[in-house]
Amino acid sequence: MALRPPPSEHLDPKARALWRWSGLLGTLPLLGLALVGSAALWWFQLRWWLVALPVMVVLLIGAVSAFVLPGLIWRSWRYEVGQEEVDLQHGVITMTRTLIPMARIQHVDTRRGPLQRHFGLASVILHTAAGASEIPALADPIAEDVRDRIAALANTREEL
Amino acid sequence: MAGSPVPEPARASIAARGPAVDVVIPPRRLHPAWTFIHLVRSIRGFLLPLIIVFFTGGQSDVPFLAIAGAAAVLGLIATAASWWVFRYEVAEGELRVHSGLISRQERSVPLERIQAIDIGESLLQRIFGVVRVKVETAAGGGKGSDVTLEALSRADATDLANRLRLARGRGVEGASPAQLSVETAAEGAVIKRLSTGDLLLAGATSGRVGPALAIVGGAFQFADDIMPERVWGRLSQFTSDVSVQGIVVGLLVIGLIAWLFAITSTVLTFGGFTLRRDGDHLLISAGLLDRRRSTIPLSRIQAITISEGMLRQPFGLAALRIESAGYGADVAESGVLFPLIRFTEIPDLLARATPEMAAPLRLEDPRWQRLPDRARLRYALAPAWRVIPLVIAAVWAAVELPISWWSGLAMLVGLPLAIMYGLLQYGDTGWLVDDQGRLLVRGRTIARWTAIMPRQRIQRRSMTRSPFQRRAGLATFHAAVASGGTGGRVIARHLDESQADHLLTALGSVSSPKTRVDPIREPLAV
Repeated sequence: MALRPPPSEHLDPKARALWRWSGLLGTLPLLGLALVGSAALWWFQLRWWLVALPVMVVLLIGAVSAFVLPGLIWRSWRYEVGQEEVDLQHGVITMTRTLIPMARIQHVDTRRGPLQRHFGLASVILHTAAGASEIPALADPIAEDVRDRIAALANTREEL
Repeated sequence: MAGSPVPEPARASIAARGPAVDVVIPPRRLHPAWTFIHLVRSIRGFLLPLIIVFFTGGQSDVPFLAIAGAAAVLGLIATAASWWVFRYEVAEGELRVHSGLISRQERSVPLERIQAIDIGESLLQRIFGVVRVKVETAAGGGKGSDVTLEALSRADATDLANRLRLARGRGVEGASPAQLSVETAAEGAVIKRLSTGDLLLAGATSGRVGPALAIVGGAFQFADDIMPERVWGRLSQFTSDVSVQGIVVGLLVIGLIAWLFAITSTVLTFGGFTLRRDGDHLLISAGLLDRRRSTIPLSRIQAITISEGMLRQPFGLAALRIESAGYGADVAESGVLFPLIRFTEIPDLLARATPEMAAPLRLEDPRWQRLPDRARLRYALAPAWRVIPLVIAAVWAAVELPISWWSGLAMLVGLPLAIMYGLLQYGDTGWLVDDQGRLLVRGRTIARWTAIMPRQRIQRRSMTRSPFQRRAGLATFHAAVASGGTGGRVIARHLDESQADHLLTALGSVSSPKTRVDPIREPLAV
């Protein structure tokens, strides 16, 4: 028996650039810590490769989170807003498929961080009585369209 | 307008479905006994320091006495003032509570948002003939989200509870406040009472031995602290010759005391447990010293969990819990639908108490789906992985440390036990979707549990696949209903991938949008 096909829509391609930048910016404080660590090791006159180790590790983490992960995450993320349900699929290592009935959605938000605004992207957040789910990094007009469509379809909602 | 978190039409629909009867209670204060109860409670916290100070040379210490006296007077005034300021009222479809001496607070709860109403009375409250009314909201779990009125006279409490029910009461057709008098509203048809035998059985088989052991341990610690040195000296002389037998006997005695504690606490909590149904509400009352009485609208019950503890399962006994957004995991006895019942009697009880949840429960029902063979090894190894570090540490200790080698090797027993537990979990895990679209999931977390979730109550469902599971064609299934506790989520691990996918689809909404709006009330019209 074949599995049901994955949801149809991808995130905005600019999401990769967004995550690349947020990955790089997120590495900066770590890099500061690593530099302090390296300086301390240098003070103790340890071997050069030991002195370089903290900085190298942080640079490696930064490189992976900025240049490897964004592409993988983008490829793994799919969503679809149907008449009855919202269908989400994501996860690089462990794949998660989530279905949320329209009738269960209490309200819908869009959210734009400063970095997201720069790229013209927004997240859509779906709130149900059992927690929230997020569709990250959609182009602004698409995010608004998705939000309004879900809000309209979820409108026949009932109380808890 | 586009950024508004709650869409405008949603508000409109709430207003349109608002109270059937316009209920108004003018602002009222709590019963004056509240001041005394509050004082006793605050003093209880200071009692130990006070006693210590009193016995350790606090005598003739004038400044200390003056400070304590001033603090007591201030406390009295503050308590009286907070009683004066605290008021509750029902107006414009909301329950409002005004409080706060220095920073004024006003909390308002829309009546449609009320999940359950609990009326309880502690020993102290019973002395004054007052009760505690707790109004549970969907924000449950978190502290301070519910409204608690600590001391109301019985008449006021019943009045409030009835009016709140009436305001929501689409089920009480045509009943006016006068018709719904205290007596008729309080009764309802008895569905089941817990017999004394079952009460004792519930205590004897409860898993409460753990907390009770802690109490016993604490008591021994306390005795150790206050007993004079020479008593212990004599005791240790007395016990110095017995070693292994003495320890075993000691452990048995402690275990027996803990078990008796467990029975006592269960008897006190669940004594006189009665489940009633009055139209579209369940009324649950229980407790010998601290009495508790909950009113739960049927429409607010999200799911039912059946739990067969390790001590209960062999005798075909189980406990029933209600999952509701109002109840968190905060109090053990909250959300208990019935504390002890024969498994075979459950379908009948559910049919009479919560028809929406009355699913087929026979274990040998051929519709129960099972796990594939290739999941067996994963189940066997999952708990074993967690035990292996312990076993390695124990073996290392046995070899390296100067203790008898067999005590370390005894830890090896943990490994087969863990594997047996995993295989038990494998055998117990199963699921089925009945003809009414209810999802039943069974599994084991120490106790064997069965969750009943009507399709239209499921908030979301998902399946996850790790790389290992993808290689083996397996998937983990999750479903969640709105609940304040953890019982609102079920997880079934290592299902056949295509079956998990089928389950995901089968629970999708097949109904037309029209019936989807409010399918919950249908069974209530019966």
